[in-house]
Amino acid sequence: MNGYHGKFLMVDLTAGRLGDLELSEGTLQKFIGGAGLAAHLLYDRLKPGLDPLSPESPLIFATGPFTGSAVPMVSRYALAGLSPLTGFWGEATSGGQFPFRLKGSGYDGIMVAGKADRPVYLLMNNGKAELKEASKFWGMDTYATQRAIKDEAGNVSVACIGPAGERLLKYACVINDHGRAAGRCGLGAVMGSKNLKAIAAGGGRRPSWADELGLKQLAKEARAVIKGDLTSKGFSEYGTLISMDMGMVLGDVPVKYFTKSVFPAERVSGQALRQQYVIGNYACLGCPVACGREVQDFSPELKTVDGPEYETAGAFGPLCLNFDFNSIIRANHLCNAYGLDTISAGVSIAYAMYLYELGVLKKSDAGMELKWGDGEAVVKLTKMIIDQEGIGKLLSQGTLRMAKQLGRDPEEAAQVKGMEIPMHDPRAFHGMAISYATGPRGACHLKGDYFNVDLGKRVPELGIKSRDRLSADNDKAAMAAKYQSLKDLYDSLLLCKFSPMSATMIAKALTLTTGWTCSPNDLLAAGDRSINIKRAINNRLGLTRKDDKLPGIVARALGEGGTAGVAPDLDRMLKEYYAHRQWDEETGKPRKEKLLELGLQQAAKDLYEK
Amino acid sequence: MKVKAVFKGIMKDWVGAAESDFDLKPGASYGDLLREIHLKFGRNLPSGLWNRKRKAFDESVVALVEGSGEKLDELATPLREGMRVDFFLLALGG
Ligand code: SF4
Repeated sequence: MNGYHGKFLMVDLTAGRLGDLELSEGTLQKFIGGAGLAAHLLYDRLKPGLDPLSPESPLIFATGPFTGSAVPMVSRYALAGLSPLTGFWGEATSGGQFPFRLKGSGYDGIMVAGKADRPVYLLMNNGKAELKEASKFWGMDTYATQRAIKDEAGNVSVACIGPAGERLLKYACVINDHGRAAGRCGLGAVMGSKNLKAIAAGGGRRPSWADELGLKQLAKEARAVIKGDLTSKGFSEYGTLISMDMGMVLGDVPVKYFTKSVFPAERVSGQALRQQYVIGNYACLGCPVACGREVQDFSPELKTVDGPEYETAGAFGPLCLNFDFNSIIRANHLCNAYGLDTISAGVSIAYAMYLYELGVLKKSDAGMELKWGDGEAVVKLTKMIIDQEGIGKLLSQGTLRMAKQLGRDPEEAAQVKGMEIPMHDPRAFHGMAISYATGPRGACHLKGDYFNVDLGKRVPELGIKSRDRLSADNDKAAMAAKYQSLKDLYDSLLLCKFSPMSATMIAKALTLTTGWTCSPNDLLAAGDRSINIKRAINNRLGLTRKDDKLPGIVARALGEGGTAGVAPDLDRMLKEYYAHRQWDEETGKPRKEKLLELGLQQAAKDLYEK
Repeated sequence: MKVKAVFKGIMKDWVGAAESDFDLKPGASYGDLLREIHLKFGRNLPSGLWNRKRKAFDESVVALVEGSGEKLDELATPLREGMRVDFFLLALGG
């Protein structure tokens, strides 16, 4: 077997037992790795009604076939399990050094179940693994935890939770390599529920590559592609915040809790960040782009602090009508230090401001005024969420539960399946409406990031072409489904979504890594399989057709900006999407024939024979 | 007819100007505007930004009509008097 070690570490925290789970080449070829493989592993352990925070609920850390290879932009890992925020399938990915170290430890991934009777961390190094006492780290923030574990364990990279995960907050995340986040779905709470503070991984074990020389040559070609790619240059120069001004013109950046789209973008752009602060770049291991930002000399207390990504700046910024970078950076830092998803936090805070303006929330409820644009309030509310103080308790539930608890119309909650909508307004790219409504983890801007297609990024090998962004015409939904499958596969391969490699080049890289014959269409088929097994998991957890929708707050046309007067025709696109996917329009389940065609026999049995 | 080209974000760095006004012949097209831009700024453009064959910016550059957000793709698209076209690098995500 090439490209993989062929085994996961199995961790039973209740028994304190560690063991190996051997993976066959057939399984790996079918599910590739990362989140797709994690879905397969979780599927077999899934019981309807399983509480995401129960000891039986598995948590999976997975690398991909490229992890550890010379291919650029591949030092990423996937984290997967059941989401305490949505109750459905949950996954998140993150980059840094940790993914290379995890694979370097001699395992392709880890599956954790059970619950330790006291805080522990898992140390893996060069084929050995042990559970270590972590009581002394419990309560520490993520930066301190990483430092302390490195002091104790030596040359390792650490992925850990902060107090938000320990307190089981519904959108707690996992942080690695300083401030890189596996942000979404609340999987930090799953880790906390198991009393698992951290994973520390080290070692230099590499699997064999099917064609090592060929892979090296391809990596060289991929670097040349990246070097010549203007978009990569842009990310290198200004980070992900580069898109703020174009996003504003297109109506892509949601403003004032999704009720506006026009704002002074130049105040929160990548250029503004660079003009106001001393900025350094941060790169995942082996990435020539280095899209991450570090803000130096931020304050006397914070010498170097992680710069906000676009999503974070959008959520704590324009969504709250806040254009003060200082407060955005501080809120981001709190989330990274305490381990909280910045998107769900920012959207929940913006919803509170929206409710305050309506008079639903009062000063007496919040203990302060919740005025639009008040950056100090944004920072204070973030801390209150983390500390579970006052109104912070309500906000930590996410927008859907907030609406329910306050007796509001759930259509007001900016979420899909319980997960908050990211900073790409679906009214600006109607393909995003279908991505959000059907995404396996709820509102997800990463599979697929269809805005890129409608702006001109094509995938000619798979017939994915740019169309009118404000229309459902010309097979928009079918195209979005294909792109969703392809981008889902990136999270199985663990390839950065910003990689400019073509589908042909990716397929070739997989061939050189594993020795399997792969074409772009094989990639698409693997992506389809991954989407469908996640769908089957969600169906078994109770998801139906009626969960595939957008809430009213983002489904109504705005009266201004680049989307004025236009709203996506979701019903029409859903019909087309279901037909393309061969999903049943009544039940929302993949049709039995489709599951069998994809080799998902067990899912076909579970969904149709029980 | 008068048309304004505005170079946003990193495009401003690359073109070397924040904006420029052009006086185009009546009925001028998007392609005509691009030709004028290239005549004026061509020497400054970093390699890869200009597609010589198509006589247009590389496909990673997005041209949007101010106000409507309408995307200009076809070189034959007619422009209107007083129009402002914003040029961005296609870098959206994160
Ligand atoms: S582009 Fe950014 S997120 Fe992607 S691999 Fe490079 S540094 Fe990591």
